[in-house]
Amino acid sequence: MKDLLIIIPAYNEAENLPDVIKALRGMVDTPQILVVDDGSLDDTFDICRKLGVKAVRHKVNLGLSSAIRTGMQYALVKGYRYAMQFDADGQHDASYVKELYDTIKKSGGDIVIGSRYLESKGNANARYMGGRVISGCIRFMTGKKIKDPTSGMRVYSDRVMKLFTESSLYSPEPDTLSYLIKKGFKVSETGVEMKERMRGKSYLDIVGSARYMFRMCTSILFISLIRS
Amino acid sequence: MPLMLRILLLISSLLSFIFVARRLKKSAVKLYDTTFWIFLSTVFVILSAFPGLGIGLAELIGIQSPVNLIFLIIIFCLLAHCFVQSLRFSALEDKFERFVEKDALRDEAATEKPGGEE
Repeated sequence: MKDLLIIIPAYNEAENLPDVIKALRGMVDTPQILVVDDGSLDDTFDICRKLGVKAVRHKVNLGLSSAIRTGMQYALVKGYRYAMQFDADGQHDASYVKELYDTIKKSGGDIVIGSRYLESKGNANARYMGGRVISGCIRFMTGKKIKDPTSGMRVYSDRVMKLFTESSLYSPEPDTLSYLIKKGFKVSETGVEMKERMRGKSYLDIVGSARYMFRMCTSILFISLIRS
Repeated sequence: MPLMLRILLLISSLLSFIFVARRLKKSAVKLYDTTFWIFLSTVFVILSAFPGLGIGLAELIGIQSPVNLIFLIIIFCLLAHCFVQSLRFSALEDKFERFVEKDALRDEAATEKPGGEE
C-alpha cells in the first residue's frame, strides 16, 4: 500500500492516539500515516513525535474539513494516489484499511466509504436515524443509495483530493458526496464494523447534531442546485 | 412624518455619526468600513430635516405612511449590509484556514529538510 496515505485528523486525542497508531502499525503492509493535529490543547503533537509518526500541526483549531484538506495537500505534494480518512478516537478498525484500499484500487473509483450499515442494520438511535435522513436526501437527489453517508472512514482518489484542496466548497461531508455522485464521480461502499470511541467525548451534542442535520439536508437538497 | 420621529431620527443619526467618528479616530475601525454608517446616518438626517422628501417618496412607491418607508429603507440597508458582511466573513475564514494549513505544511517541510529542527 505504498500509494496510500492514512490521514488521521486529531483534536485533543493524546489518550487515544497511541492505540490507534499501534493498531495501524500492526498491519501486514503498513501504509504511511500522517496525523494532522488540529490545534490540540493537549500533547497530541508531542505524542506523535514520541511514537515516531509523521505529524503536522495547525497552530489553531480549524475543524475536520480543514484538517483533512491539510492532509490531502500533503498527500498530493508527496505523490500519493489515495488518501484515507481515519478517526483518531479509536472507532475505526485498522483491519478494514486494506479492504477499502483494495476496493478503490480495483474499481478505479473516486471514493470508497467504510459503511457500518451495509450488511447489518444499525440500532434505531438518533445517530442512525439522522444518517438515514441524509441517506434519503442523497438518494432523492442522485438516485444512488449510500447507506452510511456520515461514516468518517473513507478513501479518496487523487482526483477528488485535487478538488478538495482547490476549493473550500468541498468537505469530507455527506453533501460533498452527494454532489460528487451527481457530477459522475464513482462512490461506493464496503462493509465495516466500528467500535465505540475509546476515551473522551464526541464533539457533537444534541444542538450540534440538529444543526449538522439541517446544514446537510439544506446543502444536499438546495445548495447543490446552485453550486457549480 | 410625526415630529417626534423626525427628532428621534435626527438625534440617533447624530449620535451614531459621533460614535463612528470616535471609533475611527481610535483606529478601531477601518476607514472604508465607516462609509456605510456615515451614508446611513446622512440619509436619516436628510429624511428628518426634509420630511417632504419622505412623504413624496412614499406616495411615489405607493406606501401609505412615510414611517413605513423609513422602516423599509432601514431593513433593506441592514439586510444588504448583513449579506456583504457574510461574504467578507466567508472570504476571511477561507483565507485564514488556507494560511494555517500552509503554515502547518511549511513547518513540516522545514523539519524534514536536513539542517531543519530534527
